[in-house]
Amino acid sequence: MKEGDPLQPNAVPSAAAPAAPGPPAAASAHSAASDHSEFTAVRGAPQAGTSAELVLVLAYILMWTVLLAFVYFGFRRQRRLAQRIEHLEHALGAAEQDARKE
Amino acid sequence: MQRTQLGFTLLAVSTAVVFAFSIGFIFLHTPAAQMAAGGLAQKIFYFHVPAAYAMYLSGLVCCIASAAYLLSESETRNALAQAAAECAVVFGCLVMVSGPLWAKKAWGVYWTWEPRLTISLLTLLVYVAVVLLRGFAGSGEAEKRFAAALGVLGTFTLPFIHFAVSWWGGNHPTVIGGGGGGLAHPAMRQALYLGFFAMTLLAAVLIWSRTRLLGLSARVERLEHRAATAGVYEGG
Repeated sequence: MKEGDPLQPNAVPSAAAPAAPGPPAAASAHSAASDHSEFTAVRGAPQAGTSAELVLVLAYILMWTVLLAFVYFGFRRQRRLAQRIEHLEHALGAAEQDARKE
Repeated sequence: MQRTQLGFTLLAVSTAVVFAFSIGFIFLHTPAAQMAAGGLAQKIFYFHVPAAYAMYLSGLVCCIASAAYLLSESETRNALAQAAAECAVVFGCLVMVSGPLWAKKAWGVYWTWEPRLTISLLTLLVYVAVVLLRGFAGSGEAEKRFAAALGVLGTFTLPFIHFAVSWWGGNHPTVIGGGGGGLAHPAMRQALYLGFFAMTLLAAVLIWSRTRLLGLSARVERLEHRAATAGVYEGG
């Protein structure tokens, strides 16, 4: 992420904005939390070491896995039910034919 | 019947196309957010929030169908309520899978017991309870009515998720209606609206297909009953 990149409109957090002489970063984060306009890190939590790319890829893989598993198992159940219906209708049809003959 | 099938196919294809476009838009046109929002990880937002909205939508369908079932029992209403509850669980799982990963980057932890997260988890558990109740408590009228009542009650937790941040605070920003979350660039808002549209279509496809599946299941039960009466039922 380049500083000043037009594609990064929010790359400079409000706490670091030069035109905003005011509270230090920690106090600013607290006030941001109180007006609910910004993401607020959990106090004392480690901030470094998590790769954004890894988290993003993992999240998308997991979301699509959950969705596709739901669709796949639904499709499999539907196919099984369709076969069962066909089988039952065939058996019932044969039984009715037998009953008519008798 | 064929017109219904065509309608479903069209809806499913439209959903796939909108999702493909949405993913392309998110990764090729939408800028990364500020580091406080997780930087590149903020792109999870464009599916995370719409998935939460799809959970609301499914919950609302479940509530309406359940209330309609309580007023006048019908197989279609019961199937729709069950299908919507199942979809609410799936969308809730999407929220619960994507949220903690993004939180790890933005907040530094996977989970924190803040109001919105806690109520979201509770809501998901309510819908899991509805699905389990329908799946394991038998198919009697009393069980169906109890599950319908739980489906109606579950919906009352949804507004609490939405307003949790403005009422009780927490780590989430108020994005919808509050202008928070750093969605300053127009492309970010467009990506979010596209996500909402894609998830609406997906919710419709999933609820429709699950309702149809449950309809088939009920039809099998009826046929098995007829077959048992006629003496041709072999079980299975």
